[in-house]
Amino acid sequence: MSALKLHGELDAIWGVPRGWRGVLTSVNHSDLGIRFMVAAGIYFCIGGLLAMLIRAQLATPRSAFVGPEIYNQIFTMHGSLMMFMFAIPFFEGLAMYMLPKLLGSRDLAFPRLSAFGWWCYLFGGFILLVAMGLGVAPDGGWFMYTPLASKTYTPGINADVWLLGITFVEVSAVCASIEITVSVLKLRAPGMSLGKMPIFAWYILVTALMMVVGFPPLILASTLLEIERAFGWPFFDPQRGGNPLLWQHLFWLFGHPEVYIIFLPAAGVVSTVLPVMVRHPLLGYGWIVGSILVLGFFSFGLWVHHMFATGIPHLALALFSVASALVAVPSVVQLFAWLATMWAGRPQMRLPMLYIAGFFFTFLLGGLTGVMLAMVPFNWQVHDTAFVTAHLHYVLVGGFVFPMLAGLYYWLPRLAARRSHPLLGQLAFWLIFVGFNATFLVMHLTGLLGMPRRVSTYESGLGWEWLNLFSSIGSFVMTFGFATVVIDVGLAIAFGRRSSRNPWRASTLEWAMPIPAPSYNFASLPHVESREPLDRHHRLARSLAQGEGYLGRGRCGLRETTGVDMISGEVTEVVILPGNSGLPIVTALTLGVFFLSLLLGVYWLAPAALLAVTALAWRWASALGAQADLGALPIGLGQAVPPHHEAKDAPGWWGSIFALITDATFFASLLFGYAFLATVGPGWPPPQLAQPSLAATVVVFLAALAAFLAERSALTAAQNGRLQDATRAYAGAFGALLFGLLALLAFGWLGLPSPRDHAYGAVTWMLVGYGSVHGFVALVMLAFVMRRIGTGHVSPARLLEPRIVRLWLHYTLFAMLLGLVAIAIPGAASWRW
Amino acid sequence: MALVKRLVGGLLVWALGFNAIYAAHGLGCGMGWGERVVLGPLTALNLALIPLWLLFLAAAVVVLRNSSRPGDAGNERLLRQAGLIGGWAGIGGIALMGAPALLPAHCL
Repeated sequence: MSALKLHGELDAIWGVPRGWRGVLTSVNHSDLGIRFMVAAGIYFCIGGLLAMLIRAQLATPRSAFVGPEIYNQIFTMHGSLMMFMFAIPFFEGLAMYMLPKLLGSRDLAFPRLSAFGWWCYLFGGFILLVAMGLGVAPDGGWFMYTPLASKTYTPGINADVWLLGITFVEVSAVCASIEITVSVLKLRAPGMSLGKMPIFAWYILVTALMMVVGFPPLILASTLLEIERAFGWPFFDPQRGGNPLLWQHLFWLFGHPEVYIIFLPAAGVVSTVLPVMVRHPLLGYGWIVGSILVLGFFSFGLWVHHMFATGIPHLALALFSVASALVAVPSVVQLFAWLATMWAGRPQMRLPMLYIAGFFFTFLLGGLTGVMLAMVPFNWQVHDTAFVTAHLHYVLVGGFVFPMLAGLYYWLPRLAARRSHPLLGQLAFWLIFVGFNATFLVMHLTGLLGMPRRVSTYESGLGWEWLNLFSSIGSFVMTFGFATVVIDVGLAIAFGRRSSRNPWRASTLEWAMPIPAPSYNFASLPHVESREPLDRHHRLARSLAQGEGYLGRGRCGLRETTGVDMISGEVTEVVILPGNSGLPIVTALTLGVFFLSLLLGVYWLAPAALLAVTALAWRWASALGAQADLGALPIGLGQAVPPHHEAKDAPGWWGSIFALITDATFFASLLFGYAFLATVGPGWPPPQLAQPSLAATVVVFLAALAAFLAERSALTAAQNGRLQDATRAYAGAFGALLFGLLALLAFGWLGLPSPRDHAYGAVTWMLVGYGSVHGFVALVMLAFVMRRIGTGHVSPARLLEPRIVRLWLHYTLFAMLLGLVAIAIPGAASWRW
Repeated sequence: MALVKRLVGGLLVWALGFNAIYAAHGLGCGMGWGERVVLGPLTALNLALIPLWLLFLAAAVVVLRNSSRPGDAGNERLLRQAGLIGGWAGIGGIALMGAPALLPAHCL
């Protein structure tokens, strides 16, 4: 088959409809990745404009440019947009766009999930922007500390906008984290073992894993605060057994790893671009992989350093101070690997390299002030001053914006098939670099002289005037720099010279396909034998285009790509991906109705919206699978493997594992909150402990056991081909679980104190609620698998769905029972039958 | 699981140790163990935290020994190298971060 004919055949399978239909239904990773990056860029511009307003206000003392109320909204929105709407979505977009191309795959593991995440991000962002336009934007700072964000001190909907809007956006981040993790682990080109993965994929893998466990504490915190604000459950109210510090713990359990979640993908860009710019392979690949794993873990042991001034015990100060200093070590290992690579190579100061040099200078300074802030006595001196503002901008702009601009210019030919004008790009760099340092270098001094953060104005005569004016002028210079980047990229896309296929002579797979990328990426998939496949095989791009690799022709209109063994990279299955669909946007809109109903106080609508989401999820899952066993399918190069729904470790299985890890982290955070309140909360022990009925408790335990055994029997029957027996056993598991769920609710109604009187009642009701929601979801899943047996989607060879249901059911039973045990511990002696 | 054990076994021990020490410290301070002098200069909290710290330190050493055994880390040089880095980081992390357990005043 000719390359052109193959292109036509594959494009008919993988292509996107033209016009609005394509916009609304596309699940293509390139489309979605670009959308994420463009939208994040727009949010960056909006956040930047807000920063200009901040600097205009602070340029002179006693400024009347904006009043304190508007100023509070401006700095809150600046921080929130930059953190949640720009930094994370931008790298998600880059990862979505780039990963399949780097890994030699045709798409990500769950294309509809990518699209769903995109729409959640878009709609969640709209909530924030509309609120800002209406003058009711969040105004409590981007970290929304309680009690300032509690109902007493923020009675309007400003805080609700943040809590619900950001949580909606976080749904997108959680989807992306699972999507990316499974894609990197499973959807690679055959032969690409973990040791042959491009270094960027390692960075993104560790980042995505950090997101899997990093976001749930914030989602929990937002949920608890919204429940407190809406229904008066006092999680953070010290007069009723709550504690405002619980918010800080949960927020920074997310917030500190968040810094590394932002930094690591940018460091991945550096590790990818720098070797090309210095014409030498990256040195210390193994050391870098080891150090980013260490960084990923250690970054979760630092969160309390944001709370050094809250009066926490000495041991905690020492513990977290040591951890905060220690985390510099793995960061520096990477720095030395980059320096060694530059030393060994022949650096060419082209535009991406210029931005990398800017990154080195800026991030190094940010890292040094970070170590200073890790030392408790210094931290106390500069706590909540402009010094911290300067530090975080050095870390985030240095550690994210500079590398991402390097990546933008490096991959511009890949993204747009055009090249930019080097002089305009250099001008932009110098404006940004000089402007940034003029703004923030002097801000360290402003902070050391005692100027607090987040103040709308200040008196003259404190020595802060010229420093603030200097910072403001610098910030405007920096803005001109960013505007120049926008103009430069716009001009390049519109009028730039057409780029060759591999303008930098790089050796990674994203340059082994036509530009712009076709909808299917590779006409056939390569067999990867080294980390730099294009160095080994100069004709690889042409060979793949001619269909000489794996899956080099269309089969029955199916979207096929290879799934591999996680470690060895040996091909294990053909992953059949779903096509374009309107379900992601409809589901995101329905979820949006849920969030809006809470925001507007139309609470009766919220459960209805969630039921609609459940129905859509059913429809979503129904579209997958097969009704016949296909056996091993030929994939080219003499190999044959089964489709993913007949394979042991399909992407859906791993997606469920990581979704459950996210879920379990949420639950663990809730248990942490319970333990925290019980040990340090004011007003504990509570005036009234739970006195649940032992009968209801025993029924829950017995029902859980019955559901467990019935499901076990069902899966065994399905494995042996006794599908009718399996259906009957699943029905038994359904009945037992339903009984257990009702008993759990009875346990709550009959024995738990009111959730409004004391934080104890609120937390214990949360535990019962968590178990109940999971019980309901498990019931739906059991019903689904019974239906699927009826429709012929399950056979002894096709057990993916029953195995996933088992996973969720076991977790549900575990969570229900652990919740009961947690409630029982304080007052078990007083329980009654 | 084999991959997780090989790659990040040492770091998982660090994470468990870190959480255990921090949780024990919170519990001990909440229950007043820091004020109860039990043995010489050591408080009840010291006596709870120091064995915990040493226990996890020993566990991290065991994990490192296992991951550095020939053949244990399979044929992938990278996994072996990353596992060793993680193992050493686990030991270093627990040793340094847990060392404040030796301090006399924890709960001030």
